[in-house]
Amino acid sequence: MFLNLGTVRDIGARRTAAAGLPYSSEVYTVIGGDLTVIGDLTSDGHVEIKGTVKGTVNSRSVEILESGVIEGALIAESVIIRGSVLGPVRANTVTAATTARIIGSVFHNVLTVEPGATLEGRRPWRPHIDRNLDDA
Amino acid sequence: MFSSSGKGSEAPTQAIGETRSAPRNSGETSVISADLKIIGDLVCGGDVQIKGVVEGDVKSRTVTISEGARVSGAITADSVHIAGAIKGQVEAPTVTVAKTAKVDGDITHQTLSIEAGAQMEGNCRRLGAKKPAESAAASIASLKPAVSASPEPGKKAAGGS
Repeated sequence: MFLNLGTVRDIGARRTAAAGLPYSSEVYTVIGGDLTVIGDLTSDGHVEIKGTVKGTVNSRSVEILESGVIEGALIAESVIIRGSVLGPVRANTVTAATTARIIGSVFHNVLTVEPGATLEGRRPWRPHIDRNLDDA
Repeated sequence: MFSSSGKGSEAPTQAIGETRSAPRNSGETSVISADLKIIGDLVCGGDVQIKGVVEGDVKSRTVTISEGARVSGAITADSVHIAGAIKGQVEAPTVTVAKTAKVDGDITHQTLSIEAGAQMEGNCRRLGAKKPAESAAASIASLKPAVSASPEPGKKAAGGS
């Protein structure tokens, strides 16, 4: 069955804990609702986006909340999209929630789309996606 | 399909969505964590805490640069607290420099506090001190047309005679 979206983050937390990475504030970035980043973000932790990013986001895990907007590429190991992405998405695990709006290709290994999500563009499957390589 | 408990847990997210339609001041702090690097500018109506690396300008209400953080670019805010490294201009009414800070650039402020041990390179200038210079420049600018205008009646008078 489908993944319960409510538990996705907990799974991510357990996964990072298992990988020996603390899921602490040290690796937890929040782009607040009133923040606009004009440029690129690179992180090895978790990024929560409630604001706007005009540029590329590259992180281990990304969650775009309903108010969040990315105008550019989104590259991650796992991503939960509840907001908007205007650009290509490349991630092993992609979850598009009801409120998601993705205008661009979604390169994925595991893709979950909740009913109501808007996806415009191709959704190519890949055996593995390395976020450090630009081999889309 | 999706369980109702999952929907229930999304309720806080919807509340966050609502704050967006309200004036864009959610009162929450944006955090740039230690492993995050931003190459580009940040514009924020609220609070920003930087623990990672920012290569670009930062404009916000309040900016906190934590120990270990690095900012290369200008910072404009109402209040700036510096405990990390910054290379660039800082302009804010209230500036606080902690002992762990390393500032390479000018600071324009109204209220400045520097803790013993902070590394400071560059000038500190008070915002209030900037105003007389501006008004002087403005008065000079206003004088110029007056000076150039005064010979004209004379010329006309000369042409008339």
